[in-house]
Amino acid sequence: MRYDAYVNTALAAMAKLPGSKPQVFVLTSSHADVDLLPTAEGLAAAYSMLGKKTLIADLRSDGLTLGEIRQKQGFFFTALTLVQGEAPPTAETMGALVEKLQADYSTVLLVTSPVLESMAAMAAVRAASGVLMAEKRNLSRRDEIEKALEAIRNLEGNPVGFLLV
Amino acid sequence: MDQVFDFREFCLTLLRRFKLLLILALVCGILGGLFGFAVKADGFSGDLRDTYTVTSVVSVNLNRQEKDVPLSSIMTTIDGVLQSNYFQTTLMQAGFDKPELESAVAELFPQPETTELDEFKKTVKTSIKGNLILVEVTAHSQQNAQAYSIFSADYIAKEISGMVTTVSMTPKEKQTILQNSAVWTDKLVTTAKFGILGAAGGFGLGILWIFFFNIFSLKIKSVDDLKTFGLPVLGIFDQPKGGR
Repeated sequence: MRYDAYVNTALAAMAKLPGSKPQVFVLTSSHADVDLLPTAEGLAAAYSMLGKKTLIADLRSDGLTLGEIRQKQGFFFTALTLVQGEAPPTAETMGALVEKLQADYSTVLLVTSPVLESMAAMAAVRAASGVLMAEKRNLSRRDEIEKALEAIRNLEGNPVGFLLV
Repeated sequence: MDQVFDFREFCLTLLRRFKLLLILALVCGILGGLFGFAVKADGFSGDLRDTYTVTSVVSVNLNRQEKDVPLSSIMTTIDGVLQSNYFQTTLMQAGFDKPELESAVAELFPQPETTELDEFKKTVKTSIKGNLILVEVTAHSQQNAQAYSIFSADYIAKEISGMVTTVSMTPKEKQTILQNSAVWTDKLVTTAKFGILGAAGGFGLGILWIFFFNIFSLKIKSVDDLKTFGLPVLGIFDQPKGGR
């Protein structure tokens, strides 16, 4: 995998959220069929290359899956470290989880379902520092993106930018 | 909502959908070919009967005392006479209305298809090649076409002999060329024409469809589409198909 594009994207996203506080990004899409995990893994690997201790939290399934990005023999890989109960559905419980993760990691990527389809996604948007929207060519629709952006802004989320996949 | 037409994306879509375009062209080509096969070769009148073309040839000889006159100039004169309205009218009226035609036909065929006489009037063609006068008759009956072609050639030879006084011409040779494959040749040509037209039409329709799809589709196709939302595009990744 070539990481140049991911590193550039990671740097651009970091630049959008200045400050020394650990950064928590929601990686979501307006369309449920967009391929998010490869993008999350690429971004997480890029953050690791930049010296950030990075974690991927997959909130899309019923359970919460956490994957720490580690490096072994020059290759980055996702090590699944924790699977626990249900994803926190409320802003308070999600906020508590994010605070806990921020204590251990400098960058956290919360991979969620489309904002309008998941309570966990809504809670993550409120708790995160910024929202990255991954949209796929010839799949994502403009009207869906508009609705998702509107929902993110209504939740007082911070849309940082788009990733075209 | 802004509808942005991206020519580059349009071309890329054309390349991506090239197989679809080819299939569309193929289907339309086949449909066009079938339509072309079904219609009459020379029009849409619905007459699917076979046609036969018979050509009789009259060889023109010059009189000995006129050997110093170039043959080509004499044949040019004859051609002019043959193509004149006067002669054409005379040929049609005299050739097909005179009683001797009916008697000739009666000799050749016990039951002549007299109802088709009008049809022959429209399908007699005369032309000159070297020292030959060719009389071409097209009809739905091979026998009728042959009979009227020979009769017309005889008639023309006599008429020319009378009208051009400096030369005397006698029908030296009568040759009949049967072209009963003309129908199928015409059908194949028409089928091919409609097939090609259908394929081109299908291809054009496909391009139009992609064009309008590009304009009116709500799907994201390029970075420019995302930029219209007022947020930056931080990264562009090409990922394999299939989601996780």
